[in-house]
Amino acid sequence: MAPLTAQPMLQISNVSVRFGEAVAVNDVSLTVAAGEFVSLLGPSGCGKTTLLRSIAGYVFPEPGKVVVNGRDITDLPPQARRIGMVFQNYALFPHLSVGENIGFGMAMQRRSASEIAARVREMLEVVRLPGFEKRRPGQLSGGQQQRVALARALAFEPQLLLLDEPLGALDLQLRESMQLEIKRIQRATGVTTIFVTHDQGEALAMSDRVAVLNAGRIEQVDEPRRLYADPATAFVADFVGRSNVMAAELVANGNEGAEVRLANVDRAVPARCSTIGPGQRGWLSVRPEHVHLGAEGAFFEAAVEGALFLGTHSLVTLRHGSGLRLNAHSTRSWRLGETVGVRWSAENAKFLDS
Amino acid sequence: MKVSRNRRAAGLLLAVPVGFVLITFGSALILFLLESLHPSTGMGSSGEGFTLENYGRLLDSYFFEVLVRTALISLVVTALSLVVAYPFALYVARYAGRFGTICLVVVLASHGMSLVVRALGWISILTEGGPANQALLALGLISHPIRLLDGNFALVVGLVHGFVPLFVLILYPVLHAIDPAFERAAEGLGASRMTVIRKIIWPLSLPGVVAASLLCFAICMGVYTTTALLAGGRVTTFPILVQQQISVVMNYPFGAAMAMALLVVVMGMTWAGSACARWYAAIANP
Amino acid sequence: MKRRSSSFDLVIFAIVATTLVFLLAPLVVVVMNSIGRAGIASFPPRELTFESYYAIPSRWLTALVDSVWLGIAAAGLAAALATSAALALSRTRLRHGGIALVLLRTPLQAPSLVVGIAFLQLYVWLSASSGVPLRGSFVGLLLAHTVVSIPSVLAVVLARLNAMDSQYEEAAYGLGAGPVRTFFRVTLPLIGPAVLSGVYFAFLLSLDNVPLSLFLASSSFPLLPIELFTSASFDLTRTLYAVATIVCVLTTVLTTVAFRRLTATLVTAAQV
Repeated sequence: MAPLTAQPMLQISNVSVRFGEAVAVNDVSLTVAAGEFVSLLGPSGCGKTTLLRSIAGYVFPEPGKVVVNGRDITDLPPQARRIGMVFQNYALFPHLSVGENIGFGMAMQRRSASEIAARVREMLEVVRLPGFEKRRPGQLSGGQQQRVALARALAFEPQLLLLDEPLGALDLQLRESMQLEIKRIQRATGVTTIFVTHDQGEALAMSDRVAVLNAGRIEQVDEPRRLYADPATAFVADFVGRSNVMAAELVANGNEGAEVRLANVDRAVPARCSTIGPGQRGWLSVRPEHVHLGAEGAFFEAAVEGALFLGTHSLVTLRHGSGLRLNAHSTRSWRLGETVGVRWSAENAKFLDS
Repeated sequence: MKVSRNRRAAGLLLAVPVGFVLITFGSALILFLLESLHPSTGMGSSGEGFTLENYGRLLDSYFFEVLVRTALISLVVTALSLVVAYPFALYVARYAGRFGTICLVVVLASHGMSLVVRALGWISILTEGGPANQALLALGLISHPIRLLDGNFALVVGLVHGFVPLFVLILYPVLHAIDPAFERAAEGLGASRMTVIRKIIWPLSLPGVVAASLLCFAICMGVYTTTALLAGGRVTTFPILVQQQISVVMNYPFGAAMAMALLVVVMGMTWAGSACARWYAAIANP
Repeated sequence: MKRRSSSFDLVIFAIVATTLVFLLAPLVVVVMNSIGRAGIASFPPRELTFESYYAIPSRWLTALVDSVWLGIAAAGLAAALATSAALALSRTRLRHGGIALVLLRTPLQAPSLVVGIAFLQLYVWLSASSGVPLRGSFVGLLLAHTVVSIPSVLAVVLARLNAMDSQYEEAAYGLGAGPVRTFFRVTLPLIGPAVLSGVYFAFLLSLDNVPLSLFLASSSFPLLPIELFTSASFDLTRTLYAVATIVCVLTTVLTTVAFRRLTATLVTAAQV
């Protein structure tokens, strides 16, 4: 967890952003500590990019407050914020050289030419493109453009680094190596970073904390491991990693654990849940890797509807007579139509009230 | 707030050019409209008070006849220009390689060429004893030189020459943008090149064709230079009539009314053209 | 496939060649007439001479310089005004943007003859009511030509700006550049080619606009298109063809120089 004693680097309070009738960001608050790497994760249209743009100053929250390093910047134009941003398509100025692109922010601060040249050289070292000053953005590969965009955003010593889906335009292999690269550069410079992505793998791999957004609201902010192990809402359970999210009703909640009744399945199953009274309707989340297949101690039986061999395991799709479908991981092979028993342990099944 | 400051700056950026056009062109048009409503007292003067009689005179059969003639000439010119320009644009946009670039340079150069210079060229080509007559004589199509100049024929030739480049410049990007994969797919299914053009390329380029045709027709209604030089006073079109009212008859109120009528017709055509193009674009990709 | 469509290729090539001849014929004839020794009517010319060029009266040369100067001034002024409007229209959603766009486009859609007469009325009224003598003056011509030039520049610049990602400008703001520095360091270099092709179209339009200048030009500020137009209506001399050839060459050189930019603009405009 971030140290709570230090002054937060970024503090967003009750920010809403409207575009006419539509509410893109709805009453979002978020605090980010100095040096922290926080991802905004969510499906497209969830408001994550709009939230990022409100931090950068390209859209203005109404109402809401954005405080960076103790200073209220809510009403400042972007040019007065000193926040570095890497755009989705990099937005490298095509008419300027790599060196001029990286030095642009410092030139705007009217620094001396020699100081700018030295800093550009240093930044090109950091992003591992030494000697690229004279090239044009158009002559670079996607990955190289990405590094130059990163160098440009960092060269003028911004208070914050914002990354808007920077890896979306790269192919899979390059994306993975750039994840490591961005992480390394972030650690080397120690800059506080906000990273927008719709790729949960990216968010989990790179972040200190992840904020999951849905329909303009933050559903949960947590460290990657806790987000995965302990989702706060059904949306988070399904969006972060895959999960079987089943409609359920809480029937008992005692010291030995809780019991829930799955809709249409004529049996109560064990679950884990925080302090919620019986009768509560909600969702039961069980990850596929935690679903055990076999006759022994089975809660109910289901038919094998399909199986995909994935190398280390197979993803088996099961169908219960009530119409309930769920996925399970299995290392053995199954015949289609075969009936199999299903069970899980209580600590891996979380009951969620929303 | 910053937002409103931005909007105010943008408002100023727009207000300067709009103000410039309003103060000059806008006030000129308003004065012009007022002038057209004054009674005419002849020879460059106009009377007090307001009247619609100038507009009433436009309905006289003579002026109406001229308006219809102008529209007919524009229609013929538009159709001929399309017939000449479409295969040319098709070739340049889809089949030609390096040669296409040369074609495009020729089109751009003749598009930018002075109308007076072009008319001078047509005058000496079509004149009696000029290359056109020589060619016809040599081919044995005529036995003695015929009069090609100063009539509908020369006027239409000159106007088509003026509008073919415009058509090509509008059609070229439209035809260029059609994905060659459609063509290859159709050819793969056994369609001939002519069938591909008829069934694939022509329908896909139709919005461009409609837009270009309406634009051409609208501009053609207002052409003055080419008509004055090539029709030599033998074909009276509406713009010629307007110019005569102002410079020769010096009936300013009536000239203004005629010019207003021409303006309304041309702007109406232009507006209809863009509305038509928008409507077509809307039904083409919903 | 080639085998099957060879007759098709032949037909379309014949059509294209005929069209090229049709497009070029009057221009070739103009050039030939200016250097042929015999009268205008004889074609092709037998003996070549540049005599007619020495005989060009100085009045026409003055008119040529005046026309070029007017064209450059009008296109330049129009470029500044149109770029300003295009920026406002493409980068913010203004309430009356649509109406403003219609207004700015109108002067080119209206017949030039009508615009010319309207300006004549304005200038006559101005000199009668306040003694400002705009008719026949450079400023009077400049105002009219600028108004008509704005739409040409506006069309290409607006198309370019709408096709261009505003992320470049946002990136510049984020790096600390204010609106003015963003415009001169980022926006203008990126839209520069579009502005130049707009200026090219506007300049050629102005250089040739007979009906617009017909009522506004005067002997104190003679314009070449008017001079050529008037003398073409009376008498066809080889000197006339010599001046026409100069105009012809000037236009062609401009087009060839601008060609790459122009085709790029055409394609961009089509994508919008």
